[in-house]
Amino acid sequence: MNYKSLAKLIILSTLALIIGVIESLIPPILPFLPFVRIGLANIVIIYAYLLLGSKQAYTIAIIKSIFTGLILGNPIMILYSLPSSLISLTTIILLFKANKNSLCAISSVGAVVHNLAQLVVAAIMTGTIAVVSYAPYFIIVGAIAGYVVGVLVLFLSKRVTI
Amino acid sequence: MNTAKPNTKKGFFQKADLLIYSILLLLVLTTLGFLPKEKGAYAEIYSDGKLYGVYDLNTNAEMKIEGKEGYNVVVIADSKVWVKEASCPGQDCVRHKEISKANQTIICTPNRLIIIIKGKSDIDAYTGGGL
Repeated sequence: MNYKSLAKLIILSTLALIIGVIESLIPPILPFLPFVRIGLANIVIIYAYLLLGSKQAYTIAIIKSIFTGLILGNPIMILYSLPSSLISLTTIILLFKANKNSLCAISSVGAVVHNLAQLVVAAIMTGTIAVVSYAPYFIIVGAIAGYVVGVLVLFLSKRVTI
Repeated sequence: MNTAKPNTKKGFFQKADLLIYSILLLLVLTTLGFLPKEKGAYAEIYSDGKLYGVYDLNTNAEMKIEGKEGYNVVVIADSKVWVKEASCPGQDCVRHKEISKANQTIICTPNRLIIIIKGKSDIDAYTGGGL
């Protein structure tokens, strides 16, 4: 890896981290499910995959998950966000490799997978299957939020190249 | 130089997306069955992974539950349960809307507090229906 791509990696990681922290300060979109977020940091991760490649995207996802949890003083958050981000990113990359779907749809699926993975972690952590009752909300919110993230990535990648 | 522009040709919509969206719709429809509908009868509260107590929803109570990592103030009133105050950094549990239906949960991950509402049929499961 040369210095240029290292610099890009660091800039994008920092950006994902800042977006993640700022997003946690915004009031939740669903008052009865305060832990559901739009996942704006995914903009950076998908953008990084398209621009730099999968290795860099994974690195940014890992850095983002770990340090957002630490910065917010909520390390248990990492247990939820790290596995979910990795599974979600893997799904996104596989769909891009298949090269059949639109960017927005891929981003949508990525967000849904992220949300469902978090539900599974919650079910394991709490030892109760009751959390599954939230699944419909998680899928709908994830699909819409993921689509919005996809639109933002499209605009971003047409206007910004680093 | 690897500043090749990302492939964004496949923009907003492709025919193959229909398959994805129908799978998502199917998932929503199947999981809708899990949505809490039954009225809750009592609340189970777990702290640090252990059962802290079981409370009838028809009673009114306000209690401070001290866990190893911090405390939560849980309120039961009008057949609803909510967290009034918490020592955790995220405050997600405090923002959580009050719960009253069977299978609804409030979870405070930093303090390891779980509140689960159980319905009347769950009590029947314990007592063999003879309540």
